[in-house]
Amino acid sequence: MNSPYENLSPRNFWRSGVSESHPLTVEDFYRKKFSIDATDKIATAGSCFAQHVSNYLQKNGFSVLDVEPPPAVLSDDVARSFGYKIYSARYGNIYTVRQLLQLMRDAQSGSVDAADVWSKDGRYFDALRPNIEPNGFDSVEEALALRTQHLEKVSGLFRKTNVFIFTLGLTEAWIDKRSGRVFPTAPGTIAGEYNPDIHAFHNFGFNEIHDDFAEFYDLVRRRNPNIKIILTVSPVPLTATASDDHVLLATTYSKSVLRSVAGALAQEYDNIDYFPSYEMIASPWSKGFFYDANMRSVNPGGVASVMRVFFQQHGIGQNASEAGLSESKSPREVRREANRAKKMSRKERRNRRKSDEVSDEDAVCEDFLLEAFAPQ
Amino acid sequence: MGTAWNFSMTFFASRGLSLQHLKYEDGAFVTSNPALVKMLELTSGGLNRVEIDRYDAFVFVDLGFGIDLLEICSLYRVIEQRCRPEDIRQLLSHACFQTVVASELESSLAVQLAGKLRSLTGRPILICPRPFPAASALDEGALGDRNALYSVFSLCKAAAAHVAKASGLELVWPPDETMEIPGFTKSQYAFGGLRLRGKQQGSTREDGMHMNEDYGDHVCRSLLGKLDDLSEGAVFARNPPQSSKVDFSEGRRHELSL
Repeated sequence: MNSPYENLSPRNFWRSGVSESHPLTVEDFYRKKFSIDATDKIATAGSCFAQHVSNYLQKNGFSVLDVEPPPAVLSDDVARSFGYKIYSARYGNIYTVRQLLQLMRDAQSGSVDAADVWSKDGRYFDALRPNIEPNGFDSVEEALALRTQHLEKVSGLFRKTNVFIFTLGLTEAWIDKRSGRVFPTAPGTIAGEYNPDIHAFHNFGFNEIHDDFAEFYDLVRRRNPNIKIILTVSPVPLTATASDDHVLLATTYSKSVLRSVAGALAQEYDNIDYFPSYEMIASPWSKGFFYDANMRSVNPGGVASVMRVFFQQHGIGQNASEAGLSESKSPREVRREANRAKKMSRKERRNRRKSDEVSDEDAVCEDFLLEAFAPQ
Repeated sequence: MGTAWNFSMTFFASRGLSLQHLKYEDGAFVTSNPALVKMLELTSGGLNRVEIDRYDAFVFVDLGFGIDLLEICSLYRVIEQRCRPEDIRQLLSHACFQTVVASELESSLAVQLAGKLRSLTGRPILICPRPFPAASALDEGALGDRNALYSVFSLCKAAAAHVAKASGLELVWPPDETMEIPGFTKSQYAFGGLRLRGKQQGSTREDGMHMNEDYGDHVCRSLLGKLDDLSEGAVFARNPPQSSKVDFSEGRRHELSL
């Protein structure tokens, strides 16, 4: 009897593709839609997981654009505390597609609005990228002037990049009801004050996110017709949800929608590819090995595994030492390490919780701050 | 002329940043660099070791610690400085600008030496920053309007004060009367500027960085005033300086190292 499944590749079957395979050694997991190489000018943005992607690309010889480089004298740590050297421009984390679209519209119009500046303790914060000045700005005027400069740079970035890599992070966001502006953090987290008359919670659905990205893509292509886009979905669960759902259900919803949108866009557009970092880290395949003890932060081994698959496809030698990947490290050894991590003492876990930001390979993530509002 | 000053000074000087070759050994800063040894002997009157316990206070001059608005403002600007057409300067927040200035100062030889010295002694370490550039070098276009200079200069001074405090240094700024505008020395003090190799005889040419004896007189007065404060009046004793020139040959009780 003939079956449409009988001649399919082992990768098409769960047993051979997943059960008997391992994320660290898997072959033929991701097939690139188009090639990128060291001559491409790459731009990166997205949720904090995208920072790892950006770091790895740079360390492995890709040309990652930085249109807002830090003053040369600043150390890496200080530069990052000022929002430099994290992405291709100083936009901080872009968690939602609406935020990305909003940035693109702003970059094209050059418009800034004092309503997007929040205050705290006499300091002023750009509500659209609140983490770029560790202690805020001296004045609203200063925040707006720096934002104007930023938008000019972003406009230039999308004109010159060949490849834009974007990590979709969240569906949940906080919006200014008066203007429709969407913020990367809830008011009152880093700065500002939550006012239910002004601020509203919004959980974006498939159609909204899809249409927002399509509009963003259209805007970019008008200036840069040949731009290629690689989408990823962040495997990092929500720190907190403002929906009525349990945070695990909210996470599943959020990631499912984002994954669906990414897949749909990749099917619709020749120049949009989906890279499955989410599946490598968050699926049962990896048995949770790639998460820290808090089951949220992605550990360096997880990032390295994901990037190994990416580099394999794009034919650029991975910097193994930077990647934390060793030829001699077998899946069994990785499992052993993971088991050790699970057996950590309570004290170790507590210490690990305190240093979560560090264990997530120094990614700068505002959403982690929501943890501070959790009941003790 | 004050006749009863109660101190002496020992100068240890060398060109550029060559004092970076000093290393600590057996209670003293020493060097095996023959050129530096020669310079130390020449400027100190024969000494080639800076014996830490021999001095009541230490004074650093320049050693890479200074504010050059011309240089900083050719790369960066703050909002008070107008953006010019084709302006390639990077706009920074006040906080970031201050951090940039502080980072530059933290990498100076003065701060590095202060770190070494502070780990060895609790005695005062003063720093006289590099002279501000001469006002004649001022390019208005590069710096924006003069009012903006006040803002920029105060940011720089605050950054320097922060670094000095963190490094255990007492800052001694050039007196206000030496400044034409914030961050720039009156051009008259750059005429006949002195260098370690000697006075530029008969020349009125200036490099905008080296200042003359009159400038040195002002700075020394500030310095001695600071030392007098720190020593609770021990430096000037009964007679504060009245003249326009300072003579360092008087007194021997309190020794200072420059």
